[in-house]
Amino acid sequence: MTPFAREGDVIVATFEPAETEILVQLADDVQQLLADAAEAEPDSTRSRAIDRLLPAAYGDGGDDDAEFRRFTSEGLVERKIGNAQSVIDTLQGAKVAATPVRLNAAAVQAWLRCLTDIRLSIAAGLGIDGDDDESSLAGSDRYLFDVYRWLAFVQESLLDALEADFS
Amino acid sequence: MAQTLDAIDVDAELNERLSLGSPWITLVWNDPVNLMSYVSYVFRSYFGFSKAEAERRMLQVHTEGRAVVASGTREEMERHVEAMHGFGLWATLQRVDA
Repeated sequence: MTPFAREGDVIVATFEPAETEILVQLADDVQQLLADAAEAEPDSTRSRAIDRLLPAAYGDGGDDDAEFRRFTSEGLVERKIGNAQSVIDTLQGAKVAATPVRLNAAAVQAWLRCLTDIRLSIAAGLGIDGDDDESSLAGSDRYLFDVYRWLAFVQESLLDALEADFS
Repeated sequence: MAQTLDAIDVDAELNERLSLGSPWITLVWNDPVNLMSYVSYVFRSYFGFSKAEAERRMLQVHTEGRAVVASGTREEMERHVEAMHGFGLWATLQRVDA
């Protein structure tokens, strides 16, 4: 990809077709994960990912946590699925090689949040729980780990492009 | 609750708010996934912190494991926590007990 850069009202980057395909797939995966959240097996990778996307607000494992989740999870899930859809939609036009992805302010917010949700769910699958876990990953997870790191690069590039808006 | 206020770096502004009767706080916790630049961005764009203040609290999350980002009523803190979860940050709220 070419890094994100501001062009007037929008922020623009160009992705390789293979990169576009991966991003669409990962955004779709997050949508599926959230849509089927209720069916995740306890202690499974999926349930760990969901716990990280919808963390306990009180952290005491009691009624307050359950009640907070009951009142907020539907809206949070809906917004997260909507963010992923925005990523998928903005990438539709970029499937032809070298067609830039153009993000308006709303799409930027959706991308920032969705990239985070994707990375959180991948990290849950890879078992990245501590600051030092990244260095100890086994070879079989290498591809996913490379994707995970590339997503950090994409997000960092988007944040860099936004930096000008603050000054 | 094991986490007492004493254990948390409370700044002057927060002290003042607590004395005015804001018994709940929002905490953001360290995680190995979120980029430092993103956490800082969220603190600036959502809470309206200056760049320096956002960086200070982000670094506090990173080095001390957590930082207080807001104080106020329980309802306000629940709203902040929900917003942080929307951003993908790991946030909790708790009552400030002596």
